[in-house]
Amino acid sequence: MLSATPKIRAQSTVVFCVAALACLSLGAVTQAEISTDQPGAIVWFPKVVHDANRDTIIQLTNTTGVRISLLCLYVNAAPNPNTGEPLWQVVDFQISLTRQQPTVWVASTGLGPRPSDGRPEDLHPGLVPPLAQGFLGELRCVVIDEGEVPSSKNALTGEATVIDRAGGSLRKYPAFTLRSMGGNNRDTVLALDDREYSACPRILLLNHYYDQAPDPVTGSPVSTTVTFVPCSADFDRAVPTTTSLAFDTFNEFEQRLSASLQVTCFADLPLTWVDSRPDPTRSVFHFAMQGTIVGQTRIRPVPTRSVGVGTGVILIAEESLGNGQSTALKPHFIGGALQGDVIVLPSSF
Amino acid sequence: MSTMTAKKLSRALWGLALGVASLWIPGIAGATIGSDSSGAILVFPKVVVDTSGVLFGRPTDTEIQITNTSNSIIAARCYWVNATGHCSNAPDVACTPETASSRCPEGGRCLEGWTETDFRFRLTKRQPISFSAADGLTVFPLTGGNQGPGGQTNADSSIPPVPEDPFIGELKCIQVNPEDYRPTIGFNPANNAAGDLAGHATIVSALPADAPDVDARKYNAITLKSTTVNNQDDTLVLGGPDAEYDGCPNVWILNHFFDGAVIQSHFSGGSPGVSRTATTDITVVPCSEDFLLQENNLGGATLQFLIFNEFEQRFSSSTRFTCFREVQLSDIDTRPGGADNAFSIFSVGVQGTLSGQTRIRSVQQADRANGIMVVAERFLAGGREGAVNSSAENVHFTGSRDRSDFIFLSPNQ
Repeated sequence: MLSATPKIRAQSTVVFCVAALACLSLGAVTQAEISTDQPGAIVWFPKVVHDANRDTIIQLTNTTGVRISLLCLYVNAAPNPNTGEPLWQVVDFQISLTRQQPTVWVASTGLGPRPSDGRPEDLHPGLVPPLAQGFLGELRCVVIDEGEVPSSKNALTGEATVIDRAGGSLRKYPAFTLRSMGGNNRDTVLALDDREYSACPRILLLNHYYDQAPDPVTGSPVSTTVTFVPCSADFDRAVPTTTSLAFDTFNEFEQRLSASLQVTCFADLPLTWVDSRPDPTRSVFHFAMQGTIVGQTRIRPVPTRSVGVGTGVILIAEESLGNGQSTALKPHFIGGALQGDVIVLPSSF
Repeated sequence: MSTMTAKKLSRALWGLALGVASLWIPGIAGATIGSDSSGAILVFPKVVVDTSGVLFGRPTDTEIQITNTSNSIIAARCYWVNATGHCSNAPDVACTPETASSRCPEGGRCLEGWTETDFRFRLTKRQPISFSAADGLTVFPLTGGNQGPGGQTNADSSIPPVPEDPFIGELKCIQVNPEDYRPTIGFNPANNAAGDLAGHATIVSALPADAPDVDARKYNAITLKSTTVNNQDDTLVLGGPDAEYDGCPNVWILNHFFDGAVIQSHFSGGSPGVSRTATTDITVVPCSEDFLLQENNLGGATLQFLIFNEFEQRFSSSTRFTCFREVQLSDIDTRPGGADNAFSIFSVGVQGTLSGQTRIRSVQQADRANGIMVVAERFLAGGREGAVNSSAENVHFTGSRDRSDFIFLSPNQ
């Protein structure tokens, strides 16, 4: 090789670069990201709300032919009236679903300890606590076995419908599901790393109307609300996770602008508040700023130096079309998070 | 080092590089259809335009959003599939099975239609577009001298409006090479070259402007990812042996309220609560389609339904469809219209529980998978002044099939 020509040396460099890139990519690209399409072993509703106007209908279904048990955690992240920070109050409960059994409850009422419709006790999923007015937060359910340890059964699908009292508007979204990847060590530390459970997304794509852009059909101004929830959560020590998000938004002229946001525990806010809460018209997400009706916003959780806690988030958006009517908007994902996330369940004692 | 030896070494090095790269791509390519990731085939199973409200009661249109998620210019060949039915004795009158008796002259039946209109467009890097199906998008943002920051344009791009009003049907788009419009794999290594198209559809119905009353339901377009193996011809192989794209799933899983279920919410602090009555519609389109012969010779299948209620009790039903089927659940096993709905196994009165799980399976054929795609819409009636509010949803699925579906594209001229 000492006598190799400069051209050969250059080509050798290219080969090693290609090989190195491929190896790096193998590590970076994951095969089983979070999904909303297929059943999983963890099901996740990022926005559950009960207030004077809004209530939430939760649907859960066991898609397998065997009975399963679930450990579910409601997290109330409504703003603390004194500090404005999320409350992060956690309530957990256990229910069970028989083979192929669907169930439904309304957040404000839950499910009673005994069946109210005369069904046998063993067909009643169990007690689901009702949520008081003022609840704004998330619901996560994990499939567990008889020993109350996490199980590998990819059994669950779910839907949530936020329903308005005034106007009756419905915003229905599918629950996010995390699939067990077969490497379940049955402890209470759930690794979302594509080995124990599927990973959270590396990039979230939100294809949306810019705020106050005219709806193409009705002409009324459209506005978007986004809800972010970090994937990592330590329910044992009750430590909320903080994640930094980088936003790149592209308008129809391919012009790019950026913004950033830090999320601790839970964030539910109008899209324009990401970068300009005092004056939404100055936001990069405002129609007046962009000049086009729709945009593609790419949201990237910024990795940190800390080991053991990832920075992944999930997102659900709601679009208001004026006159109190709105729809839920499910984002798209690209790839699995580079840093694995961790959910620590509360320990039994 | 001789020139000959240098050339051999050069070839060997490039061979090694390509070998490493080719090992990388197929090894990590995913193969699942989805609605939450971009792909190389984009399917909007339900597009509705009825600006006068003659078929669906209220003026209705569909807003389409399509986005290029990659850093490269891409192109798409798309097809409006017009499945609007027309009266057998009045071919100019559009109808649905539910409205045939009121729309068609006496003795007429509603005949299902199937015609396609194709079009193509380019999207520059990361570019989003939106348009209403009734209007199309004849002028793209980066045309007429406008260029993106990198000099890319939407040249040769135009989206026609749907071919008739009322219209009910689907929209399919296939990612193609922007140079020669031949089918291609995606350009974005971040998603393993699985494809760069993503989209949403919002079905909006609104009463006239002097009494604005809007109802909207939104779903994600279904995407089929490229397997990164593509021979660039106009026969697209979906799943099975030699797959170029994801195969369609084996079973679709719909979690729904039984028709007529009364949903009560907003109980708190002595509040009287709110009660609404639920119904669910599904729309089914085939994965196989023949845009070359321009006829419905591939689509269609027998659909088998398994229904489980909250008591774990199981029922089944079946129906047939050819190219497009939009139906209320209760009409799957009873006559079209509401008269018999109380006798349906999808009725809350028959099932006795509010919610159910319905598993939908299309029956395979010997030579192809006969896969289907499904979206659902839920309607809650009894809101403000008896208004109906709706939501749309992508249906869950599981499993895959060992046979292929095929899409034959029209000639690339």
